[in-house]
Parts: sequence; structure tokens; C-alpha cells
Amino acid sequence: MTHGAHFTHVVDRTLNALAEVLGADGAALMLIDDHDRPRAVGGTDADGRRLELAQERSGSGPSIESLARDEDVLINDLYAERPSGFPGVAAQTYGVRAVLSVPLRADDRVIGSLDFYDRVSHEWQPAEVRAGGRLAELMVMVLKALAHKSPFSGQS
Amino acid sequence: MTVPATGIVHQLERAVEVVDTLFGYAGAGLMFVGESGELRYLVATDDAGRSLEGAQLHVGQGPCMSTYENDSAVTSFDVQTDPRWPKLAELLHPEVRAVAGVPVRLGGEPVGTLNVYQSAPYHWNESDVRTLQAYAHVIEQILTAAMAAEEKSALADQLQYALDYRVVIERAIGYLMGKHDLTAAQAFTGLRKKARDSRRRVSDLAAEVLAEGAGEPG
Repeated sequence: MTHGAHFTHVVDRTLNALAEVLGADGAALMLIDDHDRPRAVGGTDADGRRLELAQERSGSGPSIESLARDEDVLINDLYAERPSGFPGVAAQTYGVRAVLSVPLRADDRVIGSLDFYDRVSHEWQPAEVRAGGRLAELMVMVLKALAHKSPFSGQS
Repeated sequence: MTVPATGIVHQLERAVEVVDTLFGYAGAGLMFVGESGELRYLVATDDAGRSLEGAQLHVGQGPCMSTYENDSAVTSFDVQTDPRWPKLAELLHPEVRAVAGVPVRLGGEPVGTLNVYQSAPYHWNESDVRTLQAYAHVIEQILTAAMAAEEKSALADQLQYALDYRVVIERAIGYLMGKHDLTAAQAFTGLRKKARDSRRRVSDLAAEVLAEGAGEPG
């Protein structure tokens, strides 16, 4: 398996597992590239990948806001009018309604965001938001290991 | 760059702490099979939970060992009274009551177990088990990524050992089951005890058993 294929394989499997732990219909990942641009990286299914691509193209959406504000963004229904929703993004993603975007932090900076989503609109509960934050930590662990950086260095 | 095993161990500690706080269990732990073939805690959130390791090693059976040996989820409503492991209770911390374990796999093969416990009897439901399995999958991906990043770390060696030798150990277990009419658990326990008593690795003994079996008249 090439490094790129290995990365994609591990990220997709991690996203699947994280969505399952939270009880969400899916999860998707956006990372900041070397030029500080948000890039769609992966999703548990086609809806998740479309959600990230739509945000990358349009430069707006819960994930983009989460990155910009370095805080959780809770969207109960993506189809709602702004500022409650993102109808432009919703139009490109079909099956995604409720989205929870959690910033991913590594070494005190935001490196991306993790989106959890459901296919029915609903209010995100505080316990789900807290859990999303902890699961984001695990996503960062995986990403760091894939990048061959800390946590596996600098501790000798 | 030499990367210490403590790096990945630290990350796994954090991952197990998260499972503990996320689900509100009394404790959680991560066990791996070592060179001796015995399940050892790599990470445990508390001493009560850690008593699971010693108790199971002593009596040669228990929920975590069953999880590993059967490569499937095992739950116990109350491990203190569970008739499957009658000798376990006297060695366990009294706060360890309901126990659930799921296998942690690498390359599709079990290399350890993720265990959680509650301090009161509890009926684990399908959703509990499914969520725990999903969490084990996250840990598997952390390990998979770490293995690729640093193949020489002590943990990677330990995990690789389990991967390399599980096949020969399983074949020896199968051989002993057929020859002596044993269950898989009995065969594994006997193999492990003999290895410990003779200060040999389980994999070496398993290879010997298979070689002896191959030399017997058919």
C-alpha cells in the first residue's frame, strides 16, 4: 500500500469508528494545507465527502467557521437560513442535515476540523458536543502518527 | 530519530482515559499479549481494574482472556458471581463487577483487548458492545498509524510478536485440542503454563508441540 493509500485507509477507518462511537450517521474531515487553505480530506460515505468538498469550494460552512473561530459549531439543520444553517452547502450535500464541527488542535494550533453529521435535523446535546471534542483528540493522535510527528517524538 | 515506546503508550493511556470519561464507566484498560503469551495491561485507569489482570493470570481464565482467545466480545453481568469463572471472584477487587471486553486487532488478528468495568452488576446491551467495538477500532487505527511511523518501538515489537506467532500458537492449540480432547481455553492455558514453568516462550513451545506432532505416526 502506498503512503497516500495508507493515509486514506487509516483516516477513513478512523472516521467510521468515531462516527459509530458518537452515534452519528457519519463523520468527515477537513485539514488546513501548507498554504493555510482548508482541504476536504475524507468522509465515511459520499455524503460526508460531498459535505467537505462543498465547503472547500464555497469557503463557507460549519467546518470553515469552526476553523476560523477555533470553536465548536453546532448546526441543527444545514438547510435553515443563515446564520442558523448553510443552505448553499446543503444544496450540494443532499442527505446531510445536522452537523457538529469540532476544531482539531495540535501543538496549540488549529490543524483542521472534524464534522459529525446526521441525516435528520436535530438539536445537538451538550453531552454529544463534549464527546465530539474528546473524539477529536483521538483523530489528532491518528493524524500525528500518520505524519510521523509527535506524539512519537520529543519524549526521550 | 529514535522514538521511545513511551510516546505511543502515552497516547494509548490518553485514549483509554477518554473511553473511561466518555462513557462514564468505573474503569477501563487495554491489554496486550506479550512474549509469554499472557495478557498484560499496557494501560489501566485504576488499581481496581488492574486486579483483572492478576486474577486472570492466576486462575488462567476470565472475561478478557476469553475475549482474546475467542476473538469476540465478552460481557459479564457480574464477574464476581459469573459461573464461567468461579475462581476469579476471590482474587478480584470487590468494585469490579460488570465487565465487558472487545478484541483489539491488527491486520485482522487479535493482539489484545479493550476492557471496561462497572462497580455494580449491569446488563450490557448490544449498543454498549457496538460502541466499545467502534472505540477499539479507533485504538486499532492509532496503533496502525504508530506501527507505520515507528516499527522499532518496543510496543511495535510486542504487537508484531503477537501477529507473527499467533498462527503457530493457534495451530498448536488445535493440535492439543484434538489430541487430548480439550477446549481451546484449556489447551491455551496448558500451553502457557508449561511455557512459563519451563521459562520458554509460548511460541517456541507451540512450535515444538507441532514438530513433535508431525513426527508421530499417523
